[in-house]
Amino acid sequence: MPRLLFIVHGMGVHDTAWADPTIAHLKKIPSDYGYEWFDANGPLEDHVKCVPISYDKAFTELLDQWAESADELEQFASTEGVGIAKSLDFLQGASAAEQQFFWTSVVDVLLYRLFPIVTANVRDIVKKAIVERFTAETAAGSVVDVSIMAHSLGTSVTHDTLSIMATKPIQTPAGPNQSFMLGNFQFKRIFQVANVSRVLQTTPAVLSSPIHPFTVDPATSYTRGFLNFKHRYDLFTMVRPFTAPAAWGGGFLEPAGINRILGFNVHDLDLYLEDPRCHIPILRQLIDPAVVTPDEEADALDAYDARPEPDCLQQLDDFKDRIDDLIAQASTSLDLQDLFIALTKAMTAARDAKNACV
Amino acid sequence: MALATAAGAQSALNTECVAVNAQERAVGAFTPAWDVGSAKANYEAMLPRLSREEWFIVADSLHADFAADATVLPGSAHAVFLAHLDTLRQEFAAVSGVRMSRARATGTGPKQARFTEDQPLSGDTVVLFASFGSRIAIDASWTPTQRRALCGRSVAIRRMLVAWGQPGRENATAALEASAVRWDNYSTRGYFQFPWELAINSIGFDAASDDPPRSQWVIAHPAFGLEFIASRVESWDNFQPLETLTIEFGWLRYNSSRSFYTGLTLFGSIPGDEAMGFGAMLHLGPKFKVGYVTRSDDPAGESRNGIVVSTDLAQIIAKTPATLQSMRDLIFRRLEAQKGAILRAIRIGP
Repeated sequence: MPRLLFIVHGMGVHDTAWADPTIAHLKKIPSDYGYEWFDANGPLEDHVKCVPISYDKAFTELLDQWAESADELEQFASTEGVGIAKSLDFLQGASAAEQQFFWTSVVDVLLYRLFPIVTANVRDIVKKAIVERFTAETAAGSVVDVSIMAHSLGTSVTHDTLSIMATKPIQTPAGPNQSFMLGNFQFKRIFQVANVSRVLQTTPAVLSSPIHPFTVDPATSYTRGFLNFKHRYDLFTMVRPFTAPAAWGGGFLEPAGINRILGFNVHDLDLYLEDPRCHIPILRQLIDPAVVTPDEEADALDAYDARPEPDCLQQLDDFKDRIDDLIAQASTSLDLQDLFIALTKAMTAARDAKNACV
Repeated sequence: MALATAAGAQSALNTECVAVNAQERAVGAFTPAWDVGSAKANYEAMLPRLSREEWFIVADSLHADFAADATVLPGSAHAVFLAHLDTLRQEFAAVSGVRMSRARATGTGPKQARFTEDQPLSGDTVVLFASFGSRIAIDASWTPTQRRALCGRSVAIRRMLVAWGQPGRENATAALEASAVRWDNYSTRGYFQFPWELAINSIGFDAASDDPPRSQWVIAHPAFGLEFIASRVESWDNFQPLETLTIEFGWLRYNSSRSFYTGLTLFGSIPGDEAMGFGAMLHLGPKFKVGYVTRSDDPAGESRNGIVVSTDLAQIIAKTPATLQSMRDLIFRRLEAQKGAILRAIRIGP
């Protein structure tokens, strides 16, 4: 298979089969929207091999060990000032659902961002998955194009991992190995869905790393085409939002108009992919521009935009207002703690709206 | 978004100049002008020499062959492509002979991405050498003959470089698999770290490291063990060791595979009905931990010093399964009952 698409998950619990529904969804999109190229040339899986990557075990192993020790972490955080005290104070008054969301999802962000041993473990899991699979695919001597799609926390993990791959040799018994460094290896496309890499950035910063398109500073470009997807009401992408410099030019694409609410968890990867503004650029860039014709694109957008939003106008408006308020609050802060709080509140807003709609 | 080309048909440029489309297309699958000189035909022509590790000879032949090609290309494309072929030839020359095997094993030598084509997100253009100095932009204005002259070669050379790099990638894969084993060992067979220990051990740790830390600080680490105090033994038949809480401070060092560690910790021992004592503990992997505790003599002048062993070690030395079970139950009950007090006791800071 000459094209690989690695898919990297976001925060929350993800077992080894986490991507099955997402991959099934991707495969079904051409028939759902009537993209005839696939009828003539074979289904998506004939052209692209989707390879899910799960790094969740780096968190679950720790959290299992700490399962009885949530209060220790809280104690530790508040007395040692590792920067999560305010979030945890907030949790004191939070609902059970908010606390559960925090400990099953937001804590992944916290562990990745604040504990470099965990950070390194996560990055090594992702790096090994990419290197191992690509090497297996090229064993027959064929050219393989590699792209990567990441979601939420995965956008930060992917950015960081690829930056390391581009610039740091892998230590082997034969010596420092440059096989996956700049000049020897590159990703054809990177698809960053609900990109949080900027708010979680460490070193290198996201706008000065090799993760940029070849249209700017090509000698240091590790991801030749860069596509960014941001939903208007997805709070995760609004705190220190990822904004590409104008100089990135034709190697960067961020489709406008991703703003419909077909489900209240607008951060959900599958809801992003359902939108033709998201999946059409992905399909075209993965395979060929011809896979969706302009007429098919127009029809898909019409069909998608005609789908009704949840049938509870008042709750929908309330939800949008709450998210707008949170975005306004969060956009003025560069603080990771505020992000944790805002994320938890946003999930609560989504849950409240969903419950009220039933 | 005007990304699509005409009605559902791949452009000739994408078909002929994008490697994943062109590499396996058989001779005859192209327009007549492509019948000779397709990427597949060109690559297959290289294979006998590549299998004999004659990389430089192939690169030299490619250079000579293109230099003799009279196809007129737009702009300075011919000169630019020839210059990159010359660089490729020099890169192979630099790693020929005894240096070749090491270069292939480490992914050094020729830049493997040099002949990888780039495509902007829109428009019908294929760009060669974008990251390597002078570039060539091939677009729809190029004739089939011109496309064949370049893409038939560039795609075949890209494939050649994939083959060159395979041993290096396999070595990198093996190294990362070994790293993954070390991470697994560190997680599952290392000395458990409480959050504050993980944070302290993370200080200064390189988050770009391929491997887990080799050493570990033990900081205010609560653990449970059994303490044997000789003066309390009245009868060995019904002797019961004291369950004790230890609070440890020390340092551990892992072996290269992170499957075993050794180290020394200083600790305070807090048994249920005995005075607090202090001692030193030797750690030999996850199963063996033994320490010596000193405390003041009792009023009768008898020593109350003792030996502390980890619960794991106690399990090993327990004589019968029933004793073992009883001991474990006791410890777990005690642990649960004392959890709040322990956490208060080990609280650091205000």
